[in-house]
Amino acid sequence: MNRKYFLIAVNYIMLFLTAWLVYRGTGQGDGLPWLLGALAAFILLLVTYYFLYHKSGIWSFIHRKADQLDERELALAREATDTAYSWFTVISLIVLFLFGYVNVMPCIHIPLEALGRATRITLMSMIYVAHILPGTFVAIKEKSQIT
Amino acid sequence: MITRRIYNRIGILRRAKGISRRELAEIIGVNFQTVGYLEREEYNPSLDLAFRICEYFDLPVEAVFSTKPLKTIEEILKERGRDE
Repeated sequence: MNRKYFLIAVNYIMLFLTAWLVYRGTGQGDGLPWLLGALAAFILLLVTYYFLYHKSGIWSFIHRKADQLDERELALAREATDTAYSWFTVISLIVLFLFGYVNVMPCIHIPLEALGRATRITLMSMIYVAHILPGTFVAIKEKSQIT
Repeated sequence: MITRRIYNRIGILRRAKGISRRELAEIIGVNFQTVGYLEREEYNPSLDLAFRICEYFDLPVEAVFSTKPLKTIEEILKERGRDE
């Protein structure tokens, strides 16, 4: 597998894992092992973020002003942003639907406290996703390293 | 939007001038990676950028860009030889 795709996959898996472990760790009496696992996953998330978005220049590229980009870069940034926020809208709607209807379903019952905790953790994860999603599409589309 | 491939001689002309991609990029006002994309014909420039490139090489647009694959000098000379 291409190193870039491997880093993207690990980054998102670690985000999901961190969120899941924090959820489990904050809900039980002895949640320390879960939280230590969450810390390990979070460190791996930061490491993959550093190599994929920071060191490659993608983070600064996607946050650069339009007048600092040439026409190809501008088209790339625009396409990445368009695609990313279309995806983000769909993801947000699915998350809203799940949280809104989870307790209406007869087979599932999540206590209100757990639902609140899950909502907060999901919100934090979504803030991260909203920031890196355009960068993910730039990483996929751009063949050479951004400078 | 479906775009057709635009062929060009930017790579050959740049090498003939003896300048690097970075130098050409600075002259025409783009990132040096964009010059790479242009040379590999993976990006079609805007009309403005195409004119900037042609002005730098002091050549007409049709000598630098084409919608059909451009012939190499070797191929042109071979054709001329056959005609003569």
